[in-house]
Amino acid sequence: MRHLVLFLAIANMTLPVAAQQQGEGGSAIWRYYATRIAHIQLVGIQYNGQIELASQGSGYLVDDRHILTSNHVLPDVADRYEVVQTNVRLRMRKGEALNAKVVARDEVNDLALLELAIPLPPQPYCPVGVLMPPATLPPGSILYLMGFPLDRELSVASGLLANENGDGRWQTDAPLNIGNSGGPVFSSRGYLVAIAKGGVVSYKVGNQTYDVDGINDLVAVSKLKNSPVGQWLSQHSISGCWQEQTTLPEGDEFAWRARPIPVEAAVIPPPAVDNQPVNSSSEATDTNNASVDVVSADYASSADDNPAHDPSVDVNGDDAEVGDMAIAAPVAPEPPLPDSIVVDHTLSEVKDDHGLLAGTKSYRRTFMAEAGFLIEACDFSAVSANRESNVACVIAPDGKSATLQYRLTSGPIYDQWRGWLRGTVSLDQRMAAATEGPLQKIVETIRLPIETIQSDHFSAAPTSRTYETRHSVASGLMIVDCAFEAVSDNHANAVECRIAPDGKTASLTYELTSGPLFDQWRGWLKGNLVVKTAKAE
Amino acid sequence: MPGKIVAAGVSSCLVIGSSPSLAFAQPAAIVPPVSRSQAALVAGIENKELFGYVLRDARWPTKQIPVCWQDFDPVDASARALVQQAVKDSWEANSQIRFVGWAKCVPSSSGIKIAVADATPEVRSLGRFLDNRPSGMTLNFRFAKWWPKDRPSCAQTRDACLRAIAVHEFGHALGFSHEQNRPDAPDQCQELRQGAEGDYRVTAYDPSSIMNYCNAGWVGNGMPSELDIAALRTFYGEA
Repeated sequence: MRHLVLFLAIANMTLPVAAQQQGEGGSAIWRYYATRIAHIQLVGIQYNGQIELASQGSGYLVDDRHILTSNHVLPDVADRYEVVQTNVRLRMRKGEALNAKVVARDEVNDLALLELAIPLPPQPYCPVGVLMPPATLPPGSILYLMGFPLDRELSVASGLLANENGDGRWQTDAPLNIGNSGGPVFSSRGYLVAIAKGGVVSYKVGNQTYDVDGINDLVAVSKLKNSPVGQWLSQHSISGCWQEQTTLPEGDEFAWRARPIPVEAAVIPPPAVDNQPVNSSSEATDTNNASVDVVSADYASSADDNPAHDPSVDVNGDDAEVGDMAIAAPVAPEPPLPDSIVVDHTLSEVKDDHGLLAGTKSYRRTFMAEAGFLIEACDFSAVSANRESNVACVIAPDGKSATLQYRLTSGPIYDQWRGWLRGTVSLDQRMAAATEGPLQKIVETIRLPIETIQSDHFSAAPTSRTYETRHSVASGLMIVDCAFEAVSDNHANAVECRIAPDGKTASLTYELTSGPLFDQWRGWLKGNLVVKTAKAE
Repeated sequence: MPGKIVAAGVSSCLVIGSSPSLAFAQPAAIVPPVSRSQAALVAGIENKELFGYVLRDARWPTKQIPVCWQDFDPVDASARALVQQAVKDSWEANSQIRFVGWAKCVPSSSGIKIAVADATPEVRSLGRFLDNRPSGMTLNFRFAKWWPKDRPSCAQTRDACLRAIAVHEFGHALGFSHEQNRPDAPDQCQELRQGAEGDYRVTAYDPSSIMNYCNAGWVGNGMPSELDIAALRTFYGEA
């Protein structure tokens, strides 16, 4: 009898320990965090029209909109390209690219933060547990890291915390390769502890060079404390998702389960389940267990339509299940769109031509609403401006685009001052009214560059001509939105994009006018024909 | 051109023998006598790499680079010819690179587009990133409103200034950044740092580089130095 009791005690203790072994810890981390791992690419469009990959790395979605990564993954290449696009794909390299922009950089610690143009819903992605000082891992701790090495799909790897250099520069033997930079590093219990950075690839002594393996560098998340990146997060990460743990957690709970998202921050109400009444915030915030129930109910309710769901999960959140990881993997339903969003666009225009007299020119730049949204307000805030006038942002009657109009003046040839306008166009957008029918899921947004210059000056009167550019889609797709984003135009009129009744072809028509023989001004239209496609019904 | 090079170094990712390592890599001979209370000696130099992929190469993919003039004032015909000849005598004479065209820009023009203005001569980016960029390079033919700080006499000795500046700006157009921007440049030269830092150091620091503002004779000579030519050949082949 006595032996039996002892045996049971050992069994109880070894259960969580077993879960810490490499394979299991890695699979749990994959299960809970795979949807958060970001594949990041900077894509540059050169002035000669060629598109190239400017940089690539990994990152980690730390709440509903912010992606933590390495600063060196996001080099400032604005001087090289006409357009630089930041593409973020979550979980898969073949996923849809999300637009993002850099909001904070820390060159000293090699950290940076991206913000998604459209935030994601906090659940089922939240919470994110982060281990912050004074809680820290001792050397020898098992680490798991995730990212996209080379051109591979999402990968998880493990290693040991080999050495803490004492100032947040950690060394590990976990394999790191090109593409891993910026990827998250977790403790065996799923707390974010570091970001992958680099490593030693060879070592030279005298004339001999040796290959080096397993000496890789990480940036501990404790570095966020005095970093512009951490400061931005503490001010702008408002979803309640990012949760810092400053004491080493007792017991052996997995981070994702142990730190449920506070109910007041969970904006999506759990679906109604008969035996799981939705907790109101008054009931759920006071104890940990109540919150756990809410989270569990969320995922349990999706069980019916998710064949992969583990039916053994106890929706009541029995703590005994934590140790052996028998928790439902977060079921990721199609994330619903937010009710409203604000999307910023950058504007930079310099007028640097100099005639005999000072010259003024009108400019128009058109920005489109996000798919499924209508623009309610358009604000321009200037960062720098000189000799600008009549700056106004006009929202199109259909709410699908807004045009910033302005005039710039530059000096004459003998006194070459320039006019310029730089700043941010903020578009407040609200989800299109439900009366328009269910929103179609955009499969692809295609941007076709248009550059037409008319320089016919053959007659005594100005010449006007109409142009048309068509774009057709493959079978199985239909065009749901079509618009023109102007970059530069002059004497261009009646710019209009129409979708054919069958939804297969978009047609952009416009008229250009060029000056007469004795005054040879040109007409042009430069920009992108933007066509959004959805699956044909 | 010693080292300059190719590619705006905005994202200098490759840390070869990063400076902290170099600082420790003293030859054994000048290390003070070994005492047991000292830390262990350093043996070698680590070659560290950051694991983000960053495209660095600003080198042109072809040996023929089109050039056109956005401003084509008939008055400036001799100055344009001078620029073309200076580039031919310097970069072209020492490599397989050929700058072709040199006519007035038309809508179908590609390559390097040169604006002429009495303003600071400059390029808007380095190397192949200039391809088809409007006003990618600006050259000054007058020196009435702008002149090099150390050469107020340029308006009088226009041709020498024009030649040296053209060779310098076309060095940028080939992808070379400023020699004085290198971290191994002397301190007093580093004060003249300007523009992007290169990603590759092709040769040793070169005080007499045409790409070096910290070169007292740069305008007078107006030709690439020996190290400039060595770097040129490394990237664009022997003449």
